[in-house]
Amino acid sequence: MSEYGSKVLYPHIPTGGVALPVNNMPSFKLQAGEKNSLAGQYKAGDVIISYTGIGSGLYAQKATINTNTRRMHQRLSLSDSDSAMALLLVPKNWISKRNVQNNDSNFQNQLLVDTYEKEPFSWDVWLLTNKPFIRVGQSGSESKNVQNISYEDTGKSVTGYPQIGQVGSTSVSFWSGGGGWYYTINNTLQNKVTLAVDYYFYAREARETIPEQMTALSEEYADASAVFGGIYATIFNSAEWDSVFRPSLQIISSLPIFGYNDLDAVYRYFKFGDNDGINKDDMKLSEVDFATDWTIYVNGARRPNIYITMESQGVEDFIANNQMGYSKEDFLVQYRYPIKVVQDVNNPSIKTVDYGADQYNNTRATSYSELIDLNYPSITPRNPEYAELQFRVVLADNPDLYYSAWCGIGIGIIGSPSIAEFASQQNWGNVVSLDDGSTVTIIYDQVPDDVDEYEDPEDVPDDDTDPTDFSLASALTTTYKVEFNQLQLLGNELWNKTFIDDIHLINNSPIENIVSCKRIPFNIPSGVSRSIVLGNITNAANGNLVSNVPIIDVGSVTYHGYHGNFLDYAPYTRLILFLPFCGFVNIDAAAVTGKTLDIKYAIDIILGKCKAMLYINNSYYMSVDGDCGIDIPLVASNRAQTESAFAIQGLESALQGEPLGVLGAAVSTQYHSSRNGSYTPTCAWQETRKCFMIADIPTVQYPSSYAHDIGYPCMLTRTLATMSGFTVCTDDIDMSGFSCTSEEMDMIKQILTTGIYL
Amino acid sequence: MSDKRKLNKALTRVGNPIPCSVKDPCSLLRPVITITKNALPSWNRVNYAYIDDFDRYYFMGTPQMDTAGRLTVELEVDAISSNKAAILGVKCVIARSETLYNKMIVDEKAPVRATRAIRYVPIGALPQTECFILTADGGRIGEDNT
Repeated sequence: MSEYGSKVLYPHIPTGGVALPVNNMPSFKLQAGEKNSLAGQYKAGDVIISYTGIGSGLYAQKATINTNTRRMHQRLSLSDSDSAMALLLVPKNWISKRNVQNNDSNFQNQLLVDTYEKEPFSWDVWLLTNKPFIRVGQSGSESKNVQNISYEDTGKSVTGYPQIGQVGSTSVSFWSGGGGWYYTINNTLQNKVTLAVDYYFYAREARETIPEQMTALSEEYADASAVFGGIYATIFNSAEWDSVFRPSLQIISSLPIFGYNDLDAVYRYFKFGDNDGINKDDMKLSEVDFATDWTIYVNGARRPNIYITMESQGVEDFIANNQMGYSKEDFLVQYRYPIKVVQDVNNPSIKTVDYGADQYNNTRATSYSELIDLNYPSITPRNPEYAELQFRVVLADNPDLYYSAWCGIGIGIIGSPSIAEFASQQNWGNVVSLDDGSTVTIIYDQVPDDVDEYEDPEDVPDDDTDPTDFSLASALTTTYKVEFNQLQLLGNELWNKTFIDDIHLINNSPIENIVSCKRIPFNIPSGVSRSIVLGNITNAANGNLVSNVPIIDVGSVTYHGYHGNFLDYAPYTRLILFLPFCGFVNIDAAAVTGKTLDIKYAIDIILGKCKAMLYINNSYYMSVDGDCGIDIPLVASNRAQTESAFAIQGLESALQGEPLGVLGAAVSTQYHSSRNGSYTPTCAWQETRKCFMIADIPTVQYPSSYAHDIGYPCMLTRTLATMSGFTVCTDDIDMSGFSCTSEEMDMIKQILTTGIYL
Repeated sequence: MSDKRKLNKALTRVGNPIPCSVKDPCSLLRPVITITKNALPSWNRVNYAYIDDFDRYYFMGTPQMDTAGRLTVELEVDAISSNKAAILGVKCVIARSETLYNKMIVDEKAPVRATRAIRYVPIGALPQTECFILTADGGRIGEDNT
């Protein structure tokens, strides 16, 4: 091993046929690794190195494969573990799935690659050995689906060794039920690289299950496969790896990581042992042991709450000792819910795998230092009988390269998928994938320390945002929406002699037939136009009939607060609403912060009143009454009556200290308006019709070292071994178990209660 | 020197264990020891000690040297480092923390300024329209009022 230790490495070896004389040959080994450890980690131009044994030279050879099949299964193998060879795989096109298998003697040291690409496509295979290797020719007929395999002479072959195409033989092998092209390369030392190209024919484009030829290939091979999200996956060794999430193989090497396409650095490393071109930061990261100890709390059997806590000693040691500035915030915990069916519900003898279309899209992440609080029943699995919950720790800025193994727990589910009831506890606990040394502990009917203490109760909205319809229809009166000129016309009509004579038959004056005449600051929806009728006298003036109490949706706002902490709430922050025609009202910051405030107005067009209705998260929260209609004086006595009514109303409200009445609101809040006289809607018409909220917020000045020197409130019960950084305990410490003097205990308690650095 | 409140102090060993004599009577928590200067060449850079017989760590006071080359040093026990394992096992309510906290808990130590800020949050507006509404008795017999 080099001074940089070992880890899964994906160095960037430049393309191009070159022979690399080696003085500093790294060691390689293959070992069972995390499932899908290779998936999704390649970019065009990347390489995978697989190598066994130690040699004295390093040679590269490139093969380009052209094919017109849309899916192809590539198998690159080393013939034996002693052969000093390596394989470099440089995909030109995007390769959807890769699996490496090493536990089957029939497939020792093989790199298996499945591709799925628009046809036609080609890709390069790099073969790397420590001995100059040669192409040994080929025989048999090539499949029509493999157009050609061409080799590029590197120009670096060594004198004395046969050149490409000179020696040896190539066999063609057709697998049962399919076809394949089998190619062998020997070098003169009898080290052998086998390049096999298997191809399949698929009757369907998606969701086919087990290709027959794959089954025939090996007893432990290709038991099941699945298509999900347009990606083709092959599953190996079903006895143990019955899921695409089962372990494949990690390639572990001491080969360092070089800069992308830095051929010179690679050459200097191999030739002279020069480490200058090595990306040392990546190497340090590659040494991090991501193995994580997980604790799963399952609280309840039906629709249980699930909590996950984790501790990765390797990650935390790295954070504590690294010189690269990494902290816990740079690491994430990813979790996902791949839902699968392990048994066909219609035919229990058939074992199938079916994944939701969004399997990879529902991977979620949370901060490493946070407790994961899962609400598993919120998932709606498809035909679930069994599901897995998976989780891992990753480096946030490079989660595809630095991560712990996906660990998981199996979950048995019965009942309606939408309810996702859990059968019983014994259906839990099928812990899967602990290949990197991670552990999973399941604890039933408990929750982690203080898990509920930070949990706020959820709002239960009534979702009643639709006010009740109410009609003004009356058998005795009629309400009209009248244009200004029609109102003038009506005024003239009222004092018309004919009208007065007619009306005097039933009333003393024409005004007695008018219940109210208001100027309303809204355009009210109205019905048909017809002549205005006073009593039993039809006038020349027209008006539109009005029947319903109109509801006006003013708008809504989601208020998130300003500080994101307790300062966003009372008594530190005050929120004041301005409601047109209602005035200023105080509103509880706790009720609004983080929620959506919706405001509607109901208008009483007969009395000229309005009611501002406030909804918070769709729940009816409060209302404020206002006066918006201006009385149109009809006669002098009527005018005096109107003013008197306003004066009395204002006086009563002031005396009672009514907090939310229309006038009381204007008086009592006293925020941006004050009043000594009585309220008149005429003046309110001069105010803005904008509805807004004023947040009167405190300002705070946190020093940069506040957390480190003072700390933030925690108020959770914890074992100190689980804490880090500056920590202050409350006075109530149980110090049983200390074997020291009482004075020392006092010292310890004094430090714990004033602050200790853990 | 690490902060005295730090449980895991960064220690640099400056020499092998050396014998010392303690002043009689000897306090377990605040012993006074005497060592020869030559036994501890870097005596003027040492500030921390561990006494194996007492199984405790100590902060060192200012050494006093006599003409015979003997150093007399007053020690004071480092209670937390000496009881590290027991402290890590304590389970208690954490009042404040650098790494685990809930910012929605009222923090009496928060440096709130006397100044305040006003934020205007628009919600919507009523339409800038108007109309006249007249309600009169009569006129409804046999009429569809809408």
